[in-house]
Amino acid sequence: MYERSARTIIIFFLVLIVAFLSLAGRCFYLQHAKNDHYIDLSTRQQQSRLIKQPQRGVILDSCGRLLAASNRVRTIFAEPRAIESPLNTSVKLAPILKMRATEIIRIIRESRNPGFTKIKVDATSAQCSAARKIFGVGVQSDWQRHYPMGRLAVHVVGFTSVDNRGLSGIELEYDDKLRGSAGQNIFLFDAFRRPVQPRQQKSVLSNGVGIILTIDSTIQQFARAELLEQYESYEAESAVAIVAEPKTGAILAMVSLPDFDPGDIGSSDPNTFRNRVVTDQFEPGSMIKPIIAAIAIDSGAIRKDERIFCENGDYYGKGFGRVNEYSNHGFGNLSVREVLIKSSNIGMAKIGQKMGPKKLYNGLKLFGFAKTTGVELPGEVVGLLRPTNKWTGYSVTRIPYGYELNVTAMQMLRAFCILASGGRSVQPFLVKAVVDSKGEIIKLRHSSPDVGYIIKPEVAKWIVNDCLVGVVNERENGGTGWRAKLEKWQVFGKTGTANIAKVGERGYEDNSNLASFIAGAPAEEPAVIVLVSIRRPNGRLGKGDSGGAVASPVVGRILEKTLKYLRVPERSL
Amino acid sequence: MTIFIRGYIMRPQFRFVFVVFYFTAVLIFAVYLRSVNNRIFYQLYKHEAEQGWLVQELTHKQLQVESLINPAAVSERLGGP
Repeated sequence: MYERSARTIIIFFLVLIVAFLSLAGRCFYLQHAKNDHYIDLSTRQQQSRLIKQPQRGVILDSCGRLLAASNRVRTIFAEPRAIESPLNTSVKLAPILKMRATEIIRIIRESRNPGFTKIKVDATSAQCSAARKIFGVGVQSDWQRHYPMGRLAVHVVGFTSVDNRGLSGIELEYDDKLRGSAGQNIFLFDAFRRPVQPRQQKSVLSNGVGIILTIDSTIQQFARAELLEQYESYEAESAVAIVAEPKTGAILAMVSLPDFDPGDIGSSDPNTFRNRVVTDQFEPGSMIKPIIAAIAIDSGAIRKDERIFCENGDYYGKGFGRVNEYSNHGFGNLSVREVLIKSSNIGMAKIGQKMGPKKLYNGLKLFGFAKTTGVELPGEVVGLLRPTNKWTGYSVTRIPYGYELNVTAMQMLRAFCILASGGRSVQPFLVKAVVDSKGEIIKLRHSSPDVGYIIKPEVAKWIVNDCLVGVVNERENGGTGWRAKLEKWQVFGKTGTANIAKVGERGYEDNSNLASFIAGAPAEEPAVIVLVSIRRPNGRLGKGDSGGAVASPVVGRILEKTLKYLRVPERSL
Repeated sequence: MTIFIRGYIMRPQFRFVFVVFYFTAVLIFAVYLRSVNNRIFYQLYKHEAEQGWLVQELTHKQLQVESLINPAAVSERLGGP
């Protein structure tokens, strides 16, 4: 009996020892072999990563007015698959969101995405905290880009995608700076998923920088309103306008039509997205004549007082074909000044022949043609000026009056800024300063120093004050830009009416013009340069389709308003 | 070993109770401090978020004002394009 009891006790203890050994073994296994696995599991349960998306930087005009800014928007959403009774959820949500329950039911039932459907965008904080308590309803917070000025400067400012990436304009060009960088922190969470302790900072939140443009939205409005009126009344295909300060190269306004609403990108025509000021190239026509004349005089190919026989309107020669005047005019002997005022093609063709290909090509290159201007906008094209070894006999006679070369409106503007600033090299720019999120200046743009003359100052001054003033102020002498004449300021300028080349075949389209005018004022000390170019104005309306008829009145009105706004001293009469 | 409190010698049978009591009290206090720390951190975090929202609401108002007083909007109200 005693032996039996002792055996039972021994067996019991042996079982107990085995059990404890197994437990110890299991503990050892969990503590050593599976240590990393369970640490990982508990870390996942207790810790969580919070990512803070940065606020995209603002874009301001030169006066500090908001052109683009980001703001957080709270969206109340539902998860249709989690909602058992859309009716009950809608009845609870309706008074909170001040919406009809039937409308909420419809949104939930008609949702294509079973995991997410937006109920209300831009909800208030009270609505969010109340809605959050309803099962199957949540609140999402996103950055949303706003453009308070809408279409006004849309081609300059650009727009962003839904994930806040710049897609055009300054938004694209400065995307990396505007975007900033996300902050990532790891927190210890309590049972209610509330962050209670910071654990690790993976990356520091850095909001995007702000960009201050040279654009003045008041001048932008002057330019856009005037251009839009003319663009619509002439039923034109497209139009551009630029206003710039010639001394510094600062762009004060830039308009490209047709435009689009940056707040409604989805329903806009993608063809309207491009900024035609820098992306569209065209043959400039007569607008180029003052530049060629300046190069010719500066290089010594012609004298200021030289007289040129303009062949009474018909100039023909072997190797360069036939050159005619615009509107079949016929001129005899003209001075260089008269060639520019009357816009004689034959006079310019002869100046080109006197210069020869090398001087012509080098001069145009110095004025910045066939290379980008460097203005801070994406998609800028270089234009076209073929190397002289590809020139034909036609080239030296056609380039001087604006054919056989392609330019952008921005290149034309830069060339005129060079003339207006006394032959000094000018670099157009749009970004005045870059500031951090506290408003401290990171980078400030200074105007170009007075170095790098393209042509002699006296030549530039003569072209501006003698020739181009005549184009606007001497209507009786054949001046084509008389519609831009102002009483209070001396305006100088040049018209251009260029034929439009056919696409895919030789020759030019009939009855299709590019009507342009570039002007500045006051001639004595130019403060502003304005370029307006209107493509394919409808000539059948009987209002004319030349640069003088279509573009010069717009330039005149923009100039008058801008000079008045900038308080440029009026001339003493 | 004897423990003196306010000049009295503690009786040996209470020493163990006294040590356990203080040890427990320190532990409870440590846990309390930890939970207070967590609560305050959460409050701070919450207030920071609320402050952020107030700034956002201010920005929203600023955007509304800007969209009303910008040159294009003023011109439109005056009958321009």
